[in-house]
Amino acid sequence: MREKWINLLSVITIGFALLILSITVFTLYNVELIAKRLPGKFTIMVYLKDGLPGNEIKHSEALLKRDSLVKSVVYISKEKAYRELRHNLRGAEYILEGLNENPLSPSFEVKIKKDRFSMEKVEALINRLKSKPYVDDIDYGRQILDFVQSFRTAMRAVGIFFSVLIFFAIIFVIYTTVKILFYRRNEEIETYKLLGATAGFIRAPFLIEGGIIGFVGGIFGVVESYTFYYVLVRLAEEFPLLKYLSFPVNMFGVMPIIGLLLGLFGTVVALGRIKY
Amino acid sequence: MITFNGVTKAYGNYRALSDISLNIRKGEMAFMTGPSGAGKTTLLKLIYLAERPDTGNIIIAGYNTATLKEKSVPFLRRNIGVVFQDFRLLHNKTVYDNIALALRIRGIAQGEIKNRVDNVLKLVGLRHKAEGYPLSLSGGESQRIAIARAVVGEPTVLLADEPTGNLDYDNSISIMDIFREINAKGTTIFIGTHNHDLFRNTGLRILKLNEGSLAGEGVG
Ligand SMILES: Nc1ncnc2c1ncn2[C@@H]1O[C@H](COP(=O)(O)OP(=O)(O)OP(=O)(O)O)[C@@H](O)[C@H]1O
Ligand SMILES: [Mg+2]
Repeated sequence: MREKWINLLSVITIGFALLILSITVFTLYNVELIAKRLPGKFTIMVYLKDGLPGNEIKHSEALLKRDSLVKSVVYISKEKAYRELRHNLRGAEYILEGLNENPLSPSFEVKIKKDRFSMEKVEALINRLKSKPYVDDIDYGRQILDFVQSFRTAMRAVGIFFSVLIFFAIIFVIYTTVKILFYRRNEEIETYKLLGATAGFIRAPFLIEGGIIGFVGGIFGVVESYTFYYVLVRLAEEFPLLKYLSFPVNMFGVMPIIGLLLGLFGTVVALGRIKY
Repeated sequence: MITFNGVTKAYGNYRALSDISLNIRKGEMAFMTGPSGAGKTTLLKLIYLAERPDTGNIIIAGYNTATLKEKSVPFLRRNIGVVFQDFRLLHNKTVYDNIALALRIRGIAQGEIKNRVDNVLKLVGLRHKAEGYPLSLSGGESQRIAIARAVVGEPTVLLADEPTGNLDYDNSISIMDIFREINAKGTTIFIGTHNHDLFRNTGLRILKLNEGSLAGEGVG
């Protein structure tokens, strides 16, 4: 009878561990999504050398547009840049008074296709552009990109660390449970051995029990994760910002299997060698 | 069937058995007697490998226990039925399941298990107790269930440790009848007991154990 409570307790513990696991996966998944969405807002400013002939500008623009990474290219002439600057300096145009010529460079405003985005590809493109004779300088949101990139890497590390920790926690719970059950049945097992039971025969019921505990814990984890998901969906009605988050629902199916495998593994470790 | 050559067994500093040599022939029924603490249980434990000797060697059904692989221990034990002094019945299982366990561990099919358990319950006269639990049995009934479990697997050797410890004279004699019936089918039987009524006028061999040493043989 008491064994049922021990089992229930470990099922619940495993369920909660798996809930934490799914929250971890959920967080990682969304960091990845955000990191992928970000490039849509990402622009490269390519400043051109002064005094390039019109047809050469047209030619390079066409060439750039043909690049598989590039979504759009907008040419901003020296004059247009000046106008924009004046416009932005409204009320303080006197700053430009002393200049007897337009100090600005013409430029291309290049947008990247977000589905093709990767930091490596963008850097390769930038390096290619830098070597072009018509390019004077290139400006892009390097810091932001770097920050997102390292945030992503850090989150991955934290996520993996958490997942491993949770796996170990689940194995430990099963290990302890099976150890307790094993010691409680010690006399019985001794009798089994004296009657001629093999180690496999003795192990089997524990493996079944450990497997079931893990599996049911996994189902419990699914229920809890689904509840978490449901609460998020509900909250999204109140806080529209949450709508941008997605839930990796696919992982629900895997949790009972994870529970089962960890259950079996924990049991094997707990039983160790059956001595005669 | 059972051979001891110069066997010694100590528990810590206490010598429970010293320099035991004996031989029980195939198909024989023999007794071992001696006062409490003489080492009867210890000697039987050495046979079913619950204890290992410190020196000397033990040969059971042709197997030297010293060189027997650990993996083979369960299989050797299946050839040795044991009536334990403290019965070792499992309290959470019915009488039927206690006896059936000895067959389940051998992977025998349910149908055959049912037949064989029925038969041994008939042999010990306790068919009506099949669905009872060990804690509801009298001492003598527990003893007979322990015997039923020991013989259900049709072992080649039957060891009985004080099998009439809880029985009155009449019941002890009826237990002996059961043993004779089993022995008649060819099972080697070795009984440790201090109940002299069991072997009186049987004409069977009696090994006398005293303070861990063999102190001669007699005939009942
Ligand atoms: N596991 C053990 N640890 C230490 N000493 C033990 C152990 N088992 C038995 N002994 C000691 O070894 C001696 C022989 O014990 P054993 O149980 O073999 O005697 P026995 O002849 O079966 O006695 P009884 O007729 O009372 O059952 C006793 O002195 C006992 O105290
Ligand atoms: Mg004894």
